Amino acid sequence: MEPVIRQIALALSLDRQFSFDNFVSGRAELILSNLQSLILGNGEIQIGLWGAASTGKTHLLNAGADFARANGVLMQIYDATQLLHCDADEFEGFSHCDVLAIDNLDALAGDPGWEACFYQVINRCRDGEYRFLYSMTDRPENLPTRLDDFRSRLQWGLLLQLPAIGDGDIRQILRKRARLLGIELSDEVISYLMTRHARDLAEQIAILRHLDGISLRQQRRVTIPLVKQALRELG
Amino acid sequence: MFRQNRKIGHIANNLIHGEALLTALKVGNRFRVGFARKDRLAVNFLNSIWQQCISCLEGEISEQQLNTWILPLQVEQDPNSLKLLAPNRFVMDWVRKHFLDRIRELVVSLDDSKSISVSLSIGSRSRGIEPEATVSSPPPRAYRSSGLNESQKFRNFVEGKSNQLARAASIQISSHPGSEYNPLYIYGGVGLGKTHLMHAIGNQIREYNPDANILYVNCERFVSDMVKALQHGRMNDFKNSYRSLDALLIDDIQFLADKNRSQEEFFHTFNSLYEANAQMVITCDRFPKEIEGLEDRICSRLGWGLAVDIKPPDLETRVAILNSKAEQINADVPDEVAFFIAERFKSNIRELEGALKRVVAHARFTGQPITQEFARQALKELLAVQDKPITIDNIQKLVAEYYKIRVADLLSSRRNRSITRPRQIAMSLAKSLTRHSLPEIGNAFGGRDHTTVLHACRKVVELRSEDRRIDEDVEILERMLSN
Repeated sequence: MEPVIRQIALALSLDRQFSFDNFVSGRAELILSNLQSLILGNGEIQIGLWGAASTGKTHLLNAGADFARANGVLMQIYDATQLLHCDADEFEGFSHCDVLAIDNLDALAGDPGWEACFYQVINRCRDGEYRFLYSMTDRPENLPTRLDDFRSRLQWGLLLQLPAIGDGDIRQILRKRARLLGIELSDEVISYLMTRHARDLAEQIAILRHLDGISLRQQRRVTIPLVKQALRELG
Repeated sequence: MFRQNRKIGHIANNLIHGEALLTALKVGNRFRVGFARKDRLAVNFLNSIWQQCISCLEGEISEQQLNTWILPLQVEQDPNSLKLLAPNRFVMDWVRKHFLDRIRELVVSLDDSKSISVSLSIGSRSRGIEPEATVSSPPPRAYRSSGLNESQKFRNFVEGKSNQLARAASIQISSHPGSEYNPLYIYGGVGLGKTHLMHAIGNQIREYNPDANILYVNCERFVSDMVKALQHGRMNDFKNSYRSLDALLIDDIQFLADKNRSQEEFFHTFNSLYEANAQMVITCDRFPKEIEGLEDRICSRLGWGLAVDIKPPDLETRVAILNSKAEQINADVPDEVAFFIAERFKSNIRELEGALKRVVAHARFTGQPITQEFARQALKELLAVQDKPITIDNIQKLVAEYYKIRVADLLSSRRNRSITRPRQIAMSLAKSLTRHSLPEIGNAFGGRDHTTVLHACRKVVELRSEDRRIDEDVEILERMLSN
């Protein structure tokens, strides 16, 4: 039997997953201008982003890292849910950077060791050692913190709420991300995706990326039959 | 030596050609000074290998992984091998476990000579220096600078009834350091200006005596400096550094609690400075005797001088603080807006400053003038949360959390004091902060009679007038609930 020769898509993509350019929000400009200023060192020294799941917190922080890299700014970014697996002492030395970013900072709330660590992180930020950027699901006042000194320091800087993403935003984001991948998504396809699958941005993006792979391999345009195939493959 | 020279040779061959260089490389490290240029070229080559490595990894791992684990790695300026520096042990361990083997494979594939070794350790390269000069870790801060924030002075510290005494005492000791009120102990809740006063004292002492050896240090930093000194066998440097000061300003001393070795060192530092008439200023979130986990001998010494408290600022002071902060950031904030913000953000100055920043950021972005309506719009999410009604549930949760007991204890029939006090306070708060009737409150506390609630309210009034600690607890809880 002849082996089936399939075209394999190279793991190269024009779509940087996290970029300021593909952030969509009713407040994008305000948020992006403040984040860019912080990273470049000509704005606030501490910014907290808060908002529910799927509002773009992880996106913005990682897009910030991308922006920092492009501008020669040394940025460290950590996910607090990962930090919880280590001891706060192991985190020492974080300050050798221009910008320190912590995603999901609220995950550390209630842990005395980590709260004390970040109390110190903010003190050092105020001393001018670096700029501090963090994200949380709620306002500092509502976090179950044990250390008032930590909570009040979170209130210090500029706090920006990320508004919830509506269906219109998800459509816009999908279209934008698809264009970066070289795909033109029709309204019909977007509507199909939105009605047949969870209206969760992260999941929709995952489907889009899968669609991109299939489309490249099979050299087919993204149509509803192809979407059906992608959804079947994803289970 | 031979291997090392071969390695340098390989690296240099990749970069430049010419007999002179190759001859020089064969001579070895004895003429290292003469190799500066070649070393630099070798270092550049290693940097370029690392950049190619990153490019390869970009196609293999997620952007999040790249941002977190790969991009923060720095290349030490060593011409002999690719020495990667991780910012901390957390990153080092993770990279070692998940990426180091792949990095080594990539380096081998990118280097024709196949001789570059890759190592990973914790450290940081100083930026903007010549490649030859590498710094693995900066010296502890205590030995580096005074730590004073020059922008925090008495002239931009807003005085009000809540901080009058603390400010007056601070000014007094700044003009006569070490002679009276030693130590000056400033205590109060978070974000009320203790640290500002401390910096103002340090800056003022320095203004009177530019040669004064002053150190502002946060207590956590004192502890970590000491731990580092112990680790590196530099305790004598540490002791000399602290004990030779003219003024030591230690912030948030409560973080010394339960740290026995640090307390021991602080005790001796204190004695030494006290005997030398060096001024000490110490801040804390509570009165010395109330710091749990602090040795008695330290508690008593903290009370040797003068202890002054700072309370939350009243409305007028909050407005004045806002005006001062607005001036510092060149923002035009009308009085009515300052009142609008000050009336709504009461718990601490950091929160007040955060609210102001938000309004100013919106105004600068939109180019609109700051009016009351504009401020209301800019702060609407923060205000919406504040406008949430206070419920008995919230009160019970907060009080239980505050006293580190369970909500079930508050509702139980247990009668030991560690439970009854918080229960009475919670009932009293429910009476004063909600519109529930006494029977409703009693019902919500495990089906108690309304007379029990009434008794609790009266008892709390009585306790507040007798016991300052309880008074403060209730004040803090009220503030937390109102905000």
